[in-house]
Amino acid sequence: MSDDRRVNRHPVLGPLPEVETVTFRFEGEVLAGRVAEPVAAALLAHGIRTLRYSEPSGRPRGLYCAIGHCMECRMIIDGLANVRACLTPLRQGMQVRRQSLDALASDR
Amino acid sequence: MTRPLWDLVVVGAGPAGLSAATVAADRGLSVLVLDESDRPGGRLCGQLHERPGANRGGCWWNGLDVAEQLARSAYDAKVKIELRQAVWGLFRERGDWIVATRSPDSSSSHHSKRVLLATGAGEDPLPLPGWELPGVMSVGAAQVLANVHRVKPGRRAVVVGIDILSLTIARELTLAGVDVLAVVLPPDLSGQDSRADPADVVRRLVGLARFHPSPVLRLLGRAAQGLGAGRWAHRFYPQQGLPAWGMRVRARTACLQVVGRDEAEGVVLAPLDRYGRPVSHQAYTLPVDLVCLAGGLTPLAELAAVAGCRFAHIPELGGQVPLHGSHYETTAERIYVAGNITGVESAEVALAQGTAAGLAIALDAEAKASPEELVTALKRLKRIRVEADIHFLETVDAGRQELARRWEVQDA
Amino acid sequence: MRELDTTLICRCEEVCLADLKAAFEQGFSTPELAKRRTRMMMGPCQGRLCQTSFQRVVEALLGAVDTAESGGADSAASLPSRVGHDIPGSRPPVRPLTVGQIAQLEEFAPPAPPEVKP
Repeated sequence: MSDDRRVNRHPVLGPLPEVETVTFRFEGEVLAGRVAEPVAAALLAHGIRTLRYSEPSGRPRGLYCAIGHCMECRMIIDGLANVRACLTPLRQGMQVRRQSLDALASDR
Repeated sequence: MTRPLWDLVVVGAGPAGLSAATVAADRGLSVLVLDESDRPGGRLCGQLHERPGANRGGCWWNGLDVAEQLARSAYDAKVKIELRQAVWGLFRERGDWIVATRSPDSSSSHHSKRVLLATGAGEDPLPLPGWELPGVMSVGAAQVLANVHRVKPGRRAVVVGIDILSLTIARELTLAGVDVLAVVLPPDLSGQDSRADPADVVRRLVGLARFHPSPVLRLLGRAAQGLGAGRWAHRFYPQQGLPAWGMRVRARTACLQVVGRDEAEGVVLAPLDRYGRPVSHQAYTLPVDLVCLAGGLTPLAELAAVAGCRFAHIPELGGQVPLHGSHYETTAERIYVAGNITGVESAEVALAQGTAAGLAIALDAEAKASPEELVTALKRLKRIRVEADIHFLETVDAGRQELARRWEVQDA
Repeated sequence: MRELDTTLICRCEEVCLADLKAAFEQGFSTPELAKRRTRMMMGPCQGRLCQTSFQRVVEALLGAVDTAESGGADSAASLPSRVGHDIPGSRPPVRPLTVGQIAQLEEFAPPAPPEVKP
């Protein structure tokens, strides 16, 4: 991954450790990520910041706290709704969708 | 089916939880540590700052390394650590505790004689218009993304909220290659928010800078001190801000709003007049794709509330804290607390607190520990409090004294 | 500044500062009443994100009085504040659970029905 959003070199932490690359699907599109990194981090590395649309207003929302408290990053992952993308490790073949009332309804 | 009855279940695998677990297990207690995250270390993971003397030979506090060492010691002491286990409830059963947990795909429960809550602190939110847009996140989230997951949370950033944590993380973001344009104040939502008051913020910076060994922060503190120590020092704070690590720390500028259609595209900044009020007609938009909000830290004590612990509201410690005594015992029987849940302090303090709590719990459990060891551990804690690299709140001592007083009163 | 009134202080239920102020003006002027009126802190985060903002605004609206006694004794669901009323606290589950996850726990399984003799 040559994307400049990765911190490939760091003056204190050193080079990015090598790990296995996996592929997953986001809204049908095949993307690559680092195995076991949080889904939200993998998406951000591709510049994807909108993770869901709020139920009351339909407005876009993204990651906020990154430690599982705020519930803002809840997505539909492998068919399960309300999964926190900030705490969910990326696995090969994962199916990731933005959560919204429409997306939830189309799952029924 | 009979299930194990643990001597101690520790909630939270951060510095306090892991050090307490290791000490207690060393003394012969059976110890289980539960944590919601998928790696041990808690908020140690992502911490990165220069230690005293860093300018003379290079020495960094790398939280990831500290976390790894702690976890190794815990495993060596036969502590069992279960990760990705979120504790959602605590229930009493015949004098013991049931600790109810959930993992992503199942739920379980653990029985224990004692529970240590080492859940740390959470970030205070900093609401402002537009903060719900994607691209706006807590400063801690940006830290974890950049330093642990190694993804830049954005390219051009503004950090809103000026305190030790925000300055430290803003600097870390620059190390990760994020262009941090400025660190500014938040707007005053409630009309009495000291986080938005330039006078308070400048006074705190001056007060804290003297503790801080980091050369650049000291420089900033000295520059601020040059402004005078009085109530009106902030009026002499330069409008364009003071420089630190290539960013500008602008204690006389507020972020009034985050703008953007579907994601953060910029911030509206305005200078503050001599009374700390935004000068609206001088407001301007600065294009950024990342806005980090730093509202400060507050103890994360929801499980203590669930267990029925009594609380005290002590702003000097960061908000609501469970009342506790010198053995870290709370008002709920055999529920203990250690680390930032007892008041917001640095990881070094949490480590030392965990050691003391582990000894105190071993003593209470009549395991092989001596009261003298606890006295030594508490003395060491006191020393580390003074010498720690990072001080979040200047008033911690006063807060601790107040908490001790409240404990005495409720005991009587 | 009027634009601040549009700030969402509860992101889950999309309650803005003006909504909370309005609740107080309409007489829902204790923390517990204001919470129920606005649904603040009742969404997916259950107050984990917004509880301290709620407390700050409520203290400003009611005027902080120094009554910060160590409350929260009888009820896990409230915490002491400086406004003379406890503020809503936490109750289990403090993390989201599926019904299936609750059903898995033997502690919470219903007791076996008593044997009925004919």
